[in-house]
Amino acid sequence: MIDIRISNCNKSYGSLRVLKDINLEIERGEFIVLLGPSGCGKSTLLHIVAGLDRLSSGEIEIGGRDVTDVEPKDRDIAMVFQSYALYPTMSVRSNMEFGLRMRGKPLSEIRPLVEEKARMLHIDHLLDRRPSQLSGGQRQRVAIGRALVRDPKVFLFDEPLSNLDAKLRASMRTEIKKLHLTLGTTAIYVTHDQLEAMTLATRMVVMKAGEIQQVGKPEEVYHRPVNLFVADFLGNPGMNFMKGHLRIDGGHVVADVGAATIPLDGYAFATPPADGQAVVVGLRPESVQPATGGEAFVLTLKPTLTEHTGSDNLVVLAMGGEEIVGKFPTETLPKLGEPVTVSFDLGRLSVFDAETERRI
Amino acid sequence: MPASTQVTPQATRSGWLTPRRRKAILTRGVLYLLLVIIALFFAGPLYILLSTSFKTMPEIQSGGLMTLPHEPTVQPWVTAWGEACIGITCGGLKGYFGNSMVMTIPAVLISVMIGAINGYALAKWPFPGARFVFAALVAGNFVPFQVVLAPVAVTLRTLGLFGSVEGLILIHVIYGIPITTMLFRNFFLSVPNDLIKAARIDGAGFFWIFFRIVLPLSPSVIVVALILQFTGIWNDFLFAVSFSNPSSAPMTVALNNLVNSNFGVKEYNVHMAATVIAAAPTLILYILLGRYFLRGMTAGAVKG
Repeated sequence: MIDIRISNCNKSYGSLRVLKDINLEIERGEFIVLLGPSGCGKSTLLHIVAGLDRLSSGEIEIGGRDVTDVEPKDRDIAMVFQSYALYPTMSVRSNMEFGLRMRGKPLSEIRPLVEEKARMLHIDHLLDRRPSQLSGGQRQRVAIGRALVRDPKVFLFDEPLSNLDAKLRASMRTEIKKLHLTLGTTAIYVTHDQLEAMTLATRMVVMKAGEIQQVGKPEEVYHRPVNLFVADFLGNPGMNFMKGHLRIDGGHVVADVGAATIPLDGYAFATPPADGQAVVVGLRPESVQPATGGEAFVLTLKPTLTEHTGSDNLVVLAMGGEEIVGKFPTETLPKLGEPVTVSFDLGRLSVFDAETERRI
Repeated sequence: MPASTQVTPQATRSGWLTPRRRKAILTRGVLYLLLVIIALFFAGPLYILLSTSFKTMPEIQSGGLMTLPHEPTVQPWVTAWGEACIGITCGGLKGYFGNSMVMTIPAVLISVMIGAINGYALAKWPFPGARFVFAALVAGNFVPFQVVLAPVAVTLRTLGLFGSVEGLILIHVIYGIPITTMLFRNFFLSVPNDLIKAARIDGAGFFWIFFRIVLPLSPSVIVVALILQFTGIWNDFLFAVSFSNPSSAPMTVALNNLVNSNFGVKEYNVHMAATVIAAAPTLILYILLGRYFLRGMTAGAVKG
């Protein structure tokens, strides 16, 4: 069942087009993550779904109802802000009660609801404090609690974890995931953090310059990016790109990337390849591994730099005039300048047309 | 312990009479001297005002402006408050003090309230033309009041409010709105927009957000606006002298009439007491609210 439908949505500020013909359908219970660099329009899109921004043209439907011209309070949504946006002069309890009181619910019904959600988020001992007396993580819990109490049809998250330190961010991320698994409420979550996007999303939407680049399951977007932008934006360190040409030799397609000739027999082309077509071959660092023998495709390359990250070793390898990065297990640390044999996982290749930058 | 008797290099450097230390003391000294001179400059007239108001007329006539009263008396205060002749009535200032209160309190409250709502709308609910409205209001701050005397007189006469306290209230409210609006608008710009958005999603409307969320964040700017408006309206002479009649005249006009009276001996002690009475409300307001200063009210609303 479709819970949110965004149709032909456009937003302009003067001559600046912030959103260009956005179309998106969200099923009930999905956790959609909008991901993209700053200024890609992801926050604007979220604010439009919330009703805090008006669209220039297009339609928004929530729960089968056209809400394009409906006030935020009547859209049955709740939002969590990056800045928490807790009412500073009210106690945590009043903050959580506020939305329901505005809706005229009697206090006798609100009280138990607030206490229940507060227990759920482990903030029940903080109910009588002011926001200024709380730590960042506690404030974000209160902000989430304030949204939960309302029991809305849709949760909207606007970069809720960006102000937290790395460790707290990871634990809050897990909690948000657990909450979604428990409640099953439809959610839209805006972030520029790809780790959050990968771990939280049931489907993610990658945006750039006001346009949707790709919509799909995180692993699908990660392993089968539709264009060079998505391929480059996801992953840390980023995908290795090798420029070259396609060659078709008696039914066999190979990519000639200068320092190597990569067989593409197993590659599922989306569009028929042409002989001599200029391409960019992409391979993620974790698909570049030290060879153990028996792999289909191996190369001998010279390491020029190694970095320990703790969980693995990043090895920069000279390949022709370019460099590629391999993510090796910690026990494998090649010596600089001594050639190593590495294998490419050909099943993980992505091939893009050099001109259109689209996946082929 | 031998170790404790050693003089470490740090101790020498932070010692009492190093050149750097001496220079710091000198700078401090000059600073305090200047502050004392400035304080005397402002406190001097107040001292003369207060000491003269407790002297008897013979003592004033015998000279000695700076001396303390030999035989302190409160008679000048009693006279100024209840007996001094202003114009043709001899009831002292008390009636005019009342006029001033009846005029100032509503004018201050209304102009601060309207300014707060204006400022909130301009800062947080941008509408087409908001910038122009704000620019026009700011320009309103620069209109010299002498320029508007004649048009205001005609307007008040047309409304039937000429010479009344209500007329003065109306004029003070209108000419107070530009400055209060500007004050509040500039303050409200610093209130995070996310708070307004969160409240809108929670279901609060324009006025709910104003009263429940924005105003509780703003005690400091409210106090500034109150003090500014109270002082300005209480001390106003131009509008008061132009648009009041003897029964509605505020303190400033009465004080002027008392001091500039041409009959009999000039009773300086009474004049001084009357002046202090006229200045008292603004002084008291400063003493009560001037220290009222709240910082960090938005702490906790945003990243901290």
